[in-house]
Amino acid sequence: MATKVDDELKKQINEFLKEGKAVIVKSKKGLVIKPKTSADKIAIIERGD
Amino acid sequence: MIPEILIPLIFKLGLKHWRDTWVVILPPNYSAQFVSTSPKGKAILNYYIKISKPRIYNPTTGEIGDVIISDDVGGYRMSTLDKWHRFPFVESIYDEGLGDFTITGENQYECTYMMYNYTSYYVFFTVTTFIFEFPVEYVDEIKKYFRGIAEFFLSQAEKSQRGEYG
Repeated sequence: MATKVDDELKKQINEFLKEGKAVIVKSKKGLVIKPKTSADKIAIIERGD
Repeated sequence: MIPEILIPLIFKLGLKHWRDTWVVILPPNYSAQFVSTSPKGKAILNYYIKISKPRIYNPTTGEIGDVIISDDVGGYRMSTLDKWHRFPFVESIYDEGLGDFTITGENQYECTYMMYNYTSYYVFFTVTTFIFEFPVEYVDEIKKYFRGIAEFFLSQAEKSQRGEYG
């Protein structure tokens, strides 16, 4: 299997990965996700509705 | 599949069913914790979570490639009804979802995850949570429904032990 992340999303994801952060992509109206503490390096990208 | 025990509640209280899917990408040599809560102003019953097989992500091309099988990548999870436990991405759990039955309202619920990736690869996977949503005011009523079912069957068992049947 080989699928691909679209270029615009890839650009956003890579910015965060360069900072050593994990990335979670989710919908705006979904469950609320946040890092447990300020030391937890996680970026949230919200898409769609 | 919707647990049959929820069907009376769906019709009585108008629970709304939905699924929430996250795409997760972990960098190499990484671990961190995050929490999830119900949407603002809502309560949820979270009855099942399915996690995909993790795949190697190439940040240069954006390609999602081969499945990675390793206990060096995975997570931990804890919720009100779910003990803190590890789920490494190995074959014995690939097809097994995470059952849960946590009922929570706004600010009452925090499901905690710890994700780790001690491999040298970027890892891509998805998580889908299966949910019923309802107004926060129904939290106590829904918990009462489940307690009522348990109390009914326990009382029947006690009657049976006392020889009150047959």
